[in-house]
Amino acid sequence: MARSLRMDAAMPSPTDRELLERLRSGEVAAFEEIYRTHHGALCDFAERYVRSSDSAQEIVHDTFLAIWARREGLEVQSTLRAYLFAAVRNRALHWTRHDAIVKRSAFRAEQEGARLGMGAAAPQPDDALAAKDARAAIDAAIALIPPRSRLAVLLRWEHQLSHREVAEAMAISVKGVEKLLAIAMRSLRENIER
Amino acid sequence: MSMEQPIDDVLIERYLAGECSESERTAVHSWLDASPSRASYRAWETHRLALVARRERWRTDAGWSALHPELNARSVGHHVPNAARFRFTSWSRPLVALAATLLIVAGGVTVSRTARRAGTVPLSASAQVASTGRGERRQLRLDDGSVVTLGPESSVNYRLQADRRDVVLVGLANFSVTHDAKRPFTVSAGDVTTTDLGTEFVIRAYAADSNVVVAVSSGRVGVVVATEPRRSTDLAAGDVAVRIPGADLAVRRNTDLSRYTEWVQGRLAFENQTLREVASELSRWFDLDVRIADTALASRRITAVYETPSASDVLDAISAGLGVTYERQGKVVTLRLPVR
Repeated sequence: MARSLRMDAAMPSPTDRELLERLRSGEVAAFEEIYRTHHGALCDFAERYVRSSDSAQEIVHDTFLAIWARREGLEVQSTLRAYLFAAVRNRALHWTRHDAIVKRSAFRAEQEGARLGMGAAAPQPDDALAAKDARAAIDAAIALIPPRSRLAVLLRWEHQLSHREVAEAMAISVKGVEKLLAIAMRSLRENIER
Repeated sequence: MSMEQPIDDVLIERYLAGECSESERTAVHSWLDASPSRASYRAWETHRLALVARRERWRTDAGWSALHPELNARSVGHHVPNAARFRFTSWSRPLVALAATLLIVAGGVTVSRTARRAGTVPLSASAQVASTGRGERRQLRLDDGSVVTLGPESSVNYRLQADRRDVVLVGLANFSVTHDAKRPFTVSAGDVTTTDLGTEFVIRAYAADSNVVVAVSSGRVGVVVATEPRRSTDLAAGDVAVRIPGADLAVRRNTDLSRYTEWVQGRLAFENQTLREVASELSRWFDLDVRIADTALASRRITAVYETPSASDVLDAISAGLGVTYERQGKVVTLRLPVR
């Protein structure tokens, strides 16, 4: 139900629709335009998962290659951008899972957010307060937000996705996104204003 | 005010996502200023812009060159020639070419051709971003007809909506704004907010400079500093406002703007600036690392305008004018006093 609601509320923009049409018909120029528009942000996003710029670029490269291969059946719910973030996230999760198997350590999807550092790598609750620098303080406070909420926050605050776009990127409902953001804000305010 | 919105989690969340209107943003800022513990929320805004500016490092051109041959190229469509992309890597390419281009693709900027044909104004609810690296300039034509020329190492983050147009700038940009009283065009840079009242203006707000400069070429703008949200300073053509952190907004009326605006026409201008300042400008514009070997040189002053400059032209002229020598190794240029 949430899914159909989202479909009604969030049609791709005219530009997206046009680009998608051109992409579906196999126009390389349209694909290139999409690539150039989103490449940097997607690499940034992938890097959150793999912590290596080479792997991040590889993930984005593979994602675009896969999208090109299935271009004719591409279905975008909110925006092209949200679709791309969802695709990169799936591939990055796959990548980290594979990585984990290789390293003989368990990796579960729920732990995804734990890997998504937005700030300090191993934050302590006191870091947010102790940090003299305002930037460091908000970084530390963000790093303390619970994992799944932190993913929503990353997409919202760093990449400026709308609620609907975050919903598509995380494959959850808009209501779910709002809940995650409420949790994020509670945690953030506790650690910043405490 | 009757419609005053409470500062709740939802509003702060939207503030952090950069989705607030100017009045909401002002309200959040005064709430933030009320307690020192809230200061760090403000830092996020600048940080996000810094993150966006850092995206240059992913070398999208190289990425595309690697991907392109892997596509099983049985494509139907036509290829968009390179001219359709704005990417200025050198001064030698004329700025005139910009005006002719309608399809713009520049790090996140897409102008819908469909929408233009239909004569409608496409309103993007989500923010868009464009940025330049060192040695690069770029011109963007926004969906509302406004033209933004970005200087080197600069980024804009903008959101065009039905009732307002919001831009956040880090670095240097010239704004030629299509005025629309119903959709105010507002540029935030550092803690300075400039609202267009029908106009063309330059804003310079490099993080490294710490001060913010607003120079108005035509029309009028209103400038608000975040620490005094209720006081707006009007600037007219020929006025320059300089915001130095901790000091009042300094306004010079009816001055020569060339120092701030020449770059838009492809020229490079210095007005009574120290060699140290000039060196950092040259580094930015030509993607060089210009160093001054003798500290005595750093405070020497330069006033000059260079037409269609190249790095070596400018360096030759400066060294001749100041009686210094320079040595160039790759990107590193060292200026020094001549050996006697």
